[in-house]
Amino acid sequence: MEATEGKSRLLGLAFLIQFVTSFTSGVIVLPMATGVRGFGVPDDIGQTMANIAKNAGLIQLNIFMELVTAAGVIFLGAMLYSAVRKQHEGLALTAFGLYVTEGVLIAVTKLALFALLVLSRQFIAAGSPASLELTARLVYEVMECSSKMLNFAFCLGGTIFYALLFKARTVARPMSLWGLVSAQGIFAGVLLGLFGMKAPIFLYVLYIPFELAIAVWILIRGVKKEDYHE
Amino acid sequence: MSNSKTNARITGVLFILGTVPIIVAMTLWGQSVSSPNYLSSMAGNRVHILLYALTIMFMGLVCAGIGISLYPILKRHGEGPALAAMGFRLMEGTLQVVSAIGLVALLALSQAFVKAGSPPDSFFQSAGAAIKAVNDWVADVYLLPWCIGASIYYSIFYRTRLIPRALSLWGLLGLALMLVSTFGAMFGFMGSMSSMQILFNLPIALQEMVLAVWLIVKGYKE
Repeated sequence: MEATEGKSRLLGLAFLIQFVTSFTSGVIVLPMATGVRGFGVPDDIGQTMANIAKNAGLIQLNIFMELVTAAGVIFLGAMLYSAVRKQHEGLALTAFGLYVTEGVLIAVTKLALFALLVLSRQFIAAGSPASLELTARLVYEVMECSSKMLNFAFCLGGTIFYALLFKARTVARPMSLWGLVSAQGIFAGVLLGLFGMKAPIFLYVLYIPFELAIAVWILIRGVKKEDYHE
Repeated sequence: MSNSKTNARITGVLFILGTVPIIVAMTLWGQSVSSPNYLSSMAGNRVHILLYALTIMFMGLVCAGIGISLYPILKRHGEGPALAAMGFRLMEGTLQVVSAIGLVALLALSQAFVKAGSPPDSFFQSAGAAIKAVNDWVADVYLLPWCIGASIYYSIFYRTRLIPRALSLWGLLGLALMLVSTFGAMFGFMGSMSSMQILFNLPIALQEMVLAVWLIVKGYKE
């Protein structure tokens, strides 16, 4: 029983780490460092590069936090797998695989950001040549594209996990339903983005507090013990 | 029983394949990549660079294979941690494949640079510096999932005594040193592939070879 409570706490903690690192780095640190507040490649890439070169410390902090997020995603996937595998092992394993893909793509996205940091430093050192703006725009596009792909992997994996959580009643059903529905909002946003359309922000809003809410719920209330696979 | 023995042997062989070929490849073919004139020297060593990239890719697949081969043994002692360990080693393997792709991209740039008459202060230098910086950085970053994944299985090994505790403890201490050197290199406190970093990574490299031989000869303690 103690082992189950320990696992339940680990699951809550995994959600919490995920929320804190991704929210802080994505919503606070990165916009502060780049000066870019929205989605898509900024119109003035030269100014963005100047900001990045000036805020190299913040960029490195963002990269570090996102690497923690990547590790957290895999950890969370493994914990969720343990929690729901009794419902459908094949689906649970597929969802775990998608979470691993998400973790890898987070790292790849941050590699592109690191390349942008190197290019930005060279851009400033070379007196802001236009040729580097073109390369930076390309790197930014790669970063945006891999970010969409990681969200795609997350939406598929998340949908499977939340559906299995809903079925298993591992957490309160309204909670897993919230995750299930809000993940579809992100999915719609990703699909719009992949076809070059601007996704309205409300599609993402419902999911943002979800990970914090479920983390707090699990840490306080725990999970349904008999469904937690030992 | 015999399954476990076979599994231990496979894992032991994978540990050796994940370490020895890349050291050989780095010694034989890595110089032109680390040379300050990499843009001109890489183009002249096309086959070597491709072989080097292929070895990195092979290492990536082997590292992912280590995670997969350990999973059936580790899952008996906790499915969640076993899966997490496998996931982290899969992530490590994928990043190594990304690193190999980066190397091939750098080779393509180097060939284009030579074809264009090796122009000084051109776009090639900036693009090359960016790709090379990313490649060097991946070489450090992939160590992070390795550290996390390996810490999980060494903790399980230590707790369950599947291998001698001294070997597990050596692994955990070696990983702690490697983690310090990885962060040091990632954030510029230590040169990537510097003698200091190699020194920090030596204990875990040696430990893995001892573990490999142990697994091949003795297997897991049932």
